[in-house]
Amino acid sequence: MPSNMAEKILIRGVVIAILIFLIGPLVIVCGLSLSKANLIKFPPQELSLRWFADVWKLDGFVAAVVLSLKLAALTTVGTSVLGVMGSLALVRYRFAGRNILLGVFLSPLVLPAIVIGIALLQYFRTIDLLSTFSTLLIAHIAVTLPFMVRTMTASLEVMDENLFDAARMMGADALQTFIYVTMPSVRSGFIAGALFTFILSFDNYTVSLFLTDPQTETLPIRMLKFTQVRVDPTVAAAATILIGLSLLILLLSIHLVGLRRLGGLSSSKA
Amino acid sequence: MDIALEGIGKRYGNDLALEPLDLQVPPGELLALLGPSGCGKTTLLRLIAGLIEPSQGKIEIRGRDVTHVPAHRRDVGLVFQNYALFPHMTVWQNVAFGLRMRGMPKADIRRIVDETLEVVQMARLGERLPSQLSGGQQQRVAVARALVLKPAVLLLDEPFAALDKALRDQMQIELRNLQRRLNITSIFVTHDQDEALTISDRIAVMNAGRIEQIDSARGVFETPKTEFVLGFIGQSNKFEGRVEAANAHGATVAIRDWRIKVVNASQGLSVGDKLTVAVRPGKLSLSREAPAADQNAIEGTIIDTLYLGTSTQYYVETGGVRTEVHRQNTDSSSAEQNFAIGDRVWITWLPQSTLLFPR
Amino acid sequence: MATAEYTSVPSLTYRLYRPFSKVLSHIAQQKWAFLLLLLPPLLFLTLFFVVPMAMFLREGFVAVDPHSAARTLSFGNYVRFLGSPDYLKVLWNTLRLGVIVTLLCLLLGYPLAYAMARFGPRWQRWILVAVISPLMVSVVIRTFAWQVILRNRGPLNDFLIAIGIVDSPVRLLFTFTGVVIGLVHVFLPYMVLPLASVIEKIDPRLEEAARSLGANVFRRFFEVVLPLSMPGILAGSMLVFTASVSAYVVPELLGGERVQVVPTMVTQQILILLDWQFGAAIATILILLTLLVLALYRWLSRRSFQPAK
Repeated sequence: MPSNMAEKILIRGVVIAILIFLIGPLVIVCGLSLSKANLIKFPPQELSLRWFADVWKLDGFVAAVVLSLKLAALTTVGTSVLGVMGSLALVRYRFAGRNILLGVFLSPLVLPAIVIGIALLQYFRTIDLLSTFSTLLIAHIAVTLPFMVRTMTASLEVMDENLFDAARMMGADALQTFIYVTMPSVRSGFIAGALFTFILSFDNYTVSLFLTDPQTETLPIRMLKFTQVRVDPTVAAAATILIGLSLLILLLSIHLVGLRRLGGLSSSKA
Repeated sequence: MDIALEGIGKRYGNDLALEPLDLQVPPGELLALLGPSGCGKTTLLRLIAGLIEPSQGKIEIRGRDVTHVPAHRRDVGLVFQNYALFPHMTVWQNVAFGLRMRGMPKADIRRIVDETLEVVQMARLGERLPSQLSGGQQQRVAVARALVLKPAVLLLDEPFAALDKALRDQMQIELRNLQRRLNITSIFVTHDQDEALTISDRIAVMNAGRIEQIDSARGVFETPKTEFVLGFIGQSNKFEGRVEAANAHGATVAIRDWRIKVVNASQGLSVGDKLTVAVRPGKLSLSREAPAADQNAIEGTIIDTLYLGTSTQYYVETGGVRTEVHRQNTDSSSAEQNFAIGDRVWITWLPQSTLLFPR
Repeated sequence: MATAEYTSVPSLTYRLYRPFSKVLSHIAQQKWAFLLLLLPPLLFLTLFFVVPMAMFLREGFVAVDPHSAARTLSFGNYVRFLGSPDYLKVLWNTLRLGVIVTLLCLLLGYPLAYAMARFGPRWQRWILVAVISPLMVSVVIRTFAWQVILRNRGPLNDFLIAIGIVDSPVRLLFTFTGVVIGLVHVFLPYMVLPLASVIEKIDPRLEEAARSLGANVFRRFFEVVLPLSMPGILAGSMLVFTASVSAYVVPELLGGERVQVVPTMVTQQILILLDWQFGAAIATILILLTLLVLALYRWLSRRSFQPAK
């Protein structure tokens, strides 16, 4: 659209400025962790990696990392299984109330996380049957399930219906069709959904806030407590490590699913 | 009979997709189900395949009642309109799929798939993905996949619809040759009359859930049974007529001021019957002189001509009706016989070429 | 059967699988087969989402007698909230926050989305990475970053003083502005991605045609690109607005007690003041607000697809 040099430079400059706004804070956190002095100051005067060694000594940090990883892994498994089952039922079968049920599955997306967290707190207090970890797991599955269902139903709907008939004619039963035809066809959508679920669970704060106890703290909860208690480069180093982890997952996702698809863009350019 | 349908009908709620019909297909025949969209041809094909259950009637394949037998145990292979090749599997894996699902040992699968790919001339492309194949190649793989289970019947749903014109002609012939070579009973669905006329042994012309006529290509063209078949296959000129005289040998029908003689289907005609009289443009001749008495003739003025190389089409105004005449441009046409707009001509044809339909 | 023509013996694994396959096929043909797939997730969601939500929201309609602890059906909580100017101010504050954040995200997000769609694959790649990577980092870390940046002695103030815009540090932490900045940063991707998806689908030749007909940059934008990207604008705005008014972490950490919005108020009422009923009523109001926006979005998108009269 810009037709001359000045317009071109202007809009490109604006875009770059906004990108700096987006990425800047993360860069600054990383920069903080590299400061030699025990100060939260950016830009750091002298560089050092000493704080990274101290990260592991942060109270409860390692335990929280392990817990969050476990939780995220189990959530991904649970949400994947339930999500695939639900999506298959919604897309492949005709029955009354299909659309309403789809709405029910997607409803957690619409409701404020804070309300969901509080409601679950009250609920699990009333039941009082489950361990904290179990309640966290259940809550995480509940809030990630809609994303998985949305992704999977979208992928299933664009599948060529004739593929199922072809598999039928070839003698494949329901399970064989699922393993050899359905899942490979929705592979990208499924992986995207699973990765997204993992990240949502690992990074989740608002809903988890109400369900954790001092013995069972997820990483984001622990990190927040760190930032409130001691604002020193160790915390920044811990944050930097987590940012690095996120970038790794991003790279993995790009490799498995494709950058465009991650951004919700159609896989073939118009 | 390889395929025998008795009283097969299908309704969806209040919608009658197929009226109860009978169909018999002898071994080795290539049958075309021809008709416009919505006529029920694809429904019929899918009923035979076993993807849909009939509302009524019986289906037998090689003498075995398969009406309630699931699709994969009916001994049929189906080629889908857009081929429905598994996009994430190679050509080889696509063809091997049916054998794998039945637990055939790997060594046997390898041998049979290689053989089948040879048959459709896709042996060297086994490792390609469907997205890397051309339309014609995809079709061959789809056919191979259907044939690998050695079915008694091969079904194809508009197999050439996704191909461009030049490729279509070539693939039609290829399918025809393959079918003859394997001598496999086949039914294919199409809306393209040229396609049906070119390669099939018989054509079942369908309309609104009914089979209007099953006959050879020549049969549906020369002797269409209903006005629908007349209109769907080839072109025709239609006139309103009244029976003036009828006996066992023939009849005379009046079209305005002209008297037309008919020899076929003259049974059951009574004087005064109103009819539609039709003649195909290719059966008509033009001349400047009045015709002999034993020929059917009407008179008119040429209002347009269309030169098409092999033939010329003349549009003649005949007492308020536009009549189309197709004439081959042979070298033996004398210069005198090249007609021009404004010429007054006689259109003649043989009594045997007259087609009659009740009104 | 067709493969009777083949005389090979099926493999061992298949022979073991066969009986299971037969049972499976028999089940799959039943009319109720889909329930086997549908019920587990549905039951899970009902048990662990629908029921808890219903139970909680119900509390909003309950009044608890302080002495006898008797529970009665009552709209008292709603009356209390909607009748009090102070509480309504919080609601107004929240709405104001939502609108401002949405507008800013639109303003900042549109150039990004346009660049992503039109500047070529290199730009698209880098913008996508820049937009998606913050989404993968926990909101806690992102908010921590802003806590550091917006401090009186933080990099932003240092920078502003250094280039001479201000003489002394501007207070940004624990202000409405700070919360706006934090929310815009968190939700900008939610605006950019749907918008880019829509802009990409606009035929670039339309802009070229407009240019060849003499339209300048502004006219091309306002009369060609903007109207056609409206579905994306609506989608992104809806996402950002509903997320902003429901946001808890950023207002809590960057706004503190000075910035009161509905989500922080709900938490306060319930966890600190232990007034579950009142908190639940406020939460219900928030949900109704969200649903209203959703309904508005649906209505607007249906309208914008009508053929122009």
